[in-house]
Amino acid sequence: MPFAPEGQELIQQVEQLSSRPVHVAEEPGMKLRATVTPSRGGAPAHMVRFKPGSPSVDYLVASQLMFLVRTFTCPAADRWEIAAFPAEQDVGIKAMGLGDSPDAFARSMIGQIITQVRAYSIGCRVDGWIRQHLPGLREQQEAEIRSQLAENERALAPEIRQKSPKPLVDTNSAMNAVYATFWSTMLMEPRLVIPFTAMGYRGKAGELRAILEDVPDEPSSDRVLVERWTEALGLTGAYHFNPYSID
Amino acid sequence: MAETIHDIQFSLAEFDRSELPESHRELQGDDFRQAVQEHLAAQCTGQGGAAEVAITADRVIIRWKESGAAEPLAELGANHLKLGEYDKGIALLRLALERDPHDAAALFNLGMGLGDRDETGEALELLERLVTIQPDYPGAWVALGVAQARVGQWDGFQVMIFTESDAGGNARVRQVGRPRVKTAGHGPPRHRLSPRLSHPGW
Repeated sequence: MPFAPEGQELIQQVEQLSSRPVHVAEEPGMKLRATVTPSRGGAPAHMVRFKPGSPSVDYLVASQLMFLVRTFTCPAADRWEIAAFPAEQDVGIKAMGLGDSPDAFARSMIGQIITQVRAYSIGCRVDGWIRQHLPGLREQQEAEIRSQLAENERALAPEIRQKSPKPLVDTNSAMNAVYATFWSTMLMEPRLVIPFTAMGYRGKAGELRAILEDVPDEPSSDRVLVERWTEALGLTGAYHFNPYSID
Repeated sequence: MAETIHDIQFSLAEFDRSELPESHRELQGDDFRQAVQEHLAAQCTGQGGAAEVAITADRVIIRWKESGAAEPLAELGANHLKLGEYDKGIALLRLALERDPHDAAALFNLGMGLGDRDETGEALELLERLVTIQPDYPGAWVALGVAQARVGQWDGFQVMIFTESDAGGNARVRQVGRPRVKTAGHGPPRHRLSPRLSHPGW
């Protein structure tokens, strides 16, 4: 099935900016809705993968491509990626209350929460841009966002929250709360924030939202945005930035 | 847009008391639950969809309908009772009665639910209110009779009913007499009437 013109234009844009092809493929069994793996080292292409069966494939692919666009519109010297040494992961494990968890699980969870910081903070930039500039994808975007919002709301259930340490749950919920506030504004649906406010996340969501508004909406500021969110969430020292090079 | 419904549930213990008016922040027990329910119901009002808020012993449940009118609370509550989820069902049915003390389906199902949990005093009160307000509500007299039997009120009160259907197929119940019955040696019957949705055939 061919992708929507918007997606095809973004693929061309990424290919021109990075001088690498983009491969888009379904990945059965994938838990995430979509991911992107930028080309690096010997990898011949950027890989965008998505979960089969989604009715919002064009939006999902476009949003992943926009992460690449933001990366490659920065000068080569300003491109970055996130990494963590074991000692940094240990900092995160302590901060997120994962000290009693199995080591491999704890390290995996720290990786995931850092990935969420990046995905949500820059994701707000990406989604704002798509909503403004790709009206043809608006319906798919809204469907996907509503699905994500509902998933986040389900994660508030006590039986889910009690599976993880409170600091980790609170960090995840704070990001879900700012996601809800962001979309409550975009969709003009204040109700989206009600459960998060009721559970005490008003303050942290407000802090993250303020950072989002304070940091310039330029790809070159994305690193600062991630830094400030991680600081607000108590994850400073749990990761570092590496220069990203496609070669 | 297709109608969608979803529940949001979270622990009552995690409710942020600072969201309540200052005079309500130290409340405990039922008073606290009521304050939370009223606060959230007010928050949910006028949001473009329909929402119901129920507070159980330990959790908050917000049910959203993205479009259209909300499913009647009594129906939601009865569905929970059918699934054996008594806390949820009873909370929703109480909320339905708060909103409409004459909601016959709520009176019937809450009376039934409380009776099943042996909270017979309140069950009787509700079912007596029901037969006063709507004496032809399907199953009302049977439910009241069962509730009476559960508290041992055998000698002075026996409901005899029979049903007849009118030409339109709607059930109609009529009380025809209260004969005395002997009950020595018999425990109270443990009839379980299914929680009732609106007006099914009887």
